[in-house]
Amino acid sequence: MANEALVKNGTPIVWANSGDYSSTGSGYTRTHQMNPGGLGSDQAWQGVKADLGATRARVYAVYACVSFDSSPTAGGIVEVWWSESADATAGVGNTGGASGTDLGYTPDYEEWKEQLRRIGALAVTADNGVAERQFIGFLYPQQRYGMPIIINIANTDFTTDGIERYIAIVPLINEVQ
Amino acid sequence: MANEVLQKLGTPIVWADTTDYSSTGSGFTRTHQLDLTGIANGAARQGDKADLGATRAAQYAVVCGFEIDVAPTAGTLVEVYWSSSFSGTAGTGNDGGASGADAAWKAGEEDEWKKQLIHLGSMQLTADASTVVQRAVIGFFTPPNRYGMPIVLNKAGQALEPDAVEMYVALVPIIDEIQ
Repeated sequence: MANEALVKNGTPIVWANSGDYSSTGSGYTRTHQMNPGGLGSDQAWQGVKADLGATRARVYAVYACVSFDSSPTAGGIVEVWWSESADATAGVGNTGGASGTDLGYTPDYEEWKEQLRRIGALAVTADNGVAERQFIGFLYPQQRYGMPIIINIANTDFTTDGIERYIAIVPLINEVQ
Repeated sequence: MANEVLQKLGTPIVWADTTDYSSTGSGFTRTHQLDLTGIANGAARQGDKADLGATRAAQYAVVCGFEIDVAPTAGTLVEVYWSSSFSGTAGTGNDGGASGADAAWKAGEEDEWKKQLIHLGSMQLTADASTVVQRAVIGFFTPPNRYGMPIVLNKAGQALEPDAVEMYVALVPIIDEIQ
């Protein structure tokens, strides 16, 4: 008997701020901490380390949502990167010098990001305080653990509140019917 | 025992206008609302949000039919984009500021916002005016999420046809099947 091989969503892993994130605009429930509130231009931020599971999807869809304190120039970007690890301990084995905690990422990010996996970049519009959502790219994790790192290259600060801001990775699971 | 993995077509998801679309020329049955009637050059239109299914194909072919009111310059484009979403609610979680409903999209800011969408492909037009329907497979894509909607941006240099009888955007599921 022939069986279809289809794809389904798993439960998203969502980095956002526990203090004020709201799922109303996105539909995503927060699972991990990341609070780049007021992140300045030319600064980077890392989220806490997540466990993708002993068994996990082969591929994840990566989404980002940000908003800005004042209107940026259209054409700016917010880069999204991934640090991987084989170890569950926050500070152990992370690529690109990530800490595994919710924290500013090294000011030398231009140098260090080359040791991370680039997922993609959100293209910024010239809008102030508007939630800008974008599918960033597909992530094929090579390790069980990991954390996102974002770099603000929009020439404008992020909003100080984190109501709408998140990074989400959505497992795309193959399933034989 | 080894089993071949072959491919078959699923049921197409077809955005077209409920008022006047006809499947006679395309063979596609309309499933979702998108009114492309008379879209001006430089303007964009978004379709209703669709549910691709809790389980769905890994890949879709994107097939379009457009009709241009006045003969465009050959090689001009109609661009087609995808806004994806995790949520089944029309206005929730859509990429690129889409509303989830059949409406004009980001008037005057199309080129700025389209960078937050997935570019499915573009139809390269011939220099033929209305009554000539232009159809093409403009691309293949893997949806990154369960829900989504197409956005059509007219870069033809001319308006689309004042009726939508022949115009549509169709996603044709290409389903892997283990024999």
